[in-house]
Amino acid sequence: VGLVLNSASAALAGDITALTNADVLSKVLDVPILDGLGENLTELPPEWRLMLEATMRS
Amino acid sequence: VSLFITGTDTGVGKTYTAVRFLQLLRESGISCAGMKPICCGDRRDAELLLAAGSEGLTIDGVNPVWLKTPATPIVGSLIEKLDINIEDILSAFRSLQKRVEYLIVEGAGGWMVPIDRNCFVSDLAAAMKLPVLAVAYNRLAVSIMRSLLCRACADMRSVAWALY
Repeated sequence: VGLVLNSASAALAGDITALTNADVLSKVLDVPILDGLGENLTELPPEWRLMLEATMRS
Repeated sequence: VSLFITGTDTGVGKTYTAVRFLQLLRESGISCAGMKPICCGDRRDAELLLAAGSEGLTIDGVNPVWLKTPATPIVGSLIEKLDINIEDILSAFRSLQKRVEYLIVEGAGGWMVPIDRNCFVSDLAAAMKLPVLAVAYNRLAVSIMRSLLCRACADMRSVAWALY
């Protein structure tokens, strides 16, 4: 139902792939690309809620 | 409702993702549990899932198969002379599923890790009939190729990656 891209260390290292991989994967995969669930979140991001609803429907 | 979390490799953030997901579900008032059907080496992943899920669960319920050998399940079971009974895992899964609104199952290692001669992690997800969420480590070269390989394998094994 989705692909989570764990970008924690890539972002810290200024890795350009952290910026381009998500875009490329969104073009070639037919599932949503989700950001990782960072420590600062207090609720599920909207795209995760959509994924949750999709699993409930399935 | 249940979801199977797999990874493009080991150590890509499956447990972190599952634990944060459980924490946020609980904060939304949803009863939930994590399950790690097979642990190899230590049991840390299962302990983290147990702590993040709703109360009243046990470590053996969350993690029915614990191989002490830090290797792939097929190797660990051969070294320890233990047969991994898939039916027992599915029974534990169904039992947990009845107890919570949302169950998150975390696979061992990556998508095509062998559990025994006839069963891979992907087969376990298929036997559980769960939608699959994959975690990929976002770094140079590997995440695109491995994500596409996992996707292709899921298609070949008729697992519901694209139910979204």
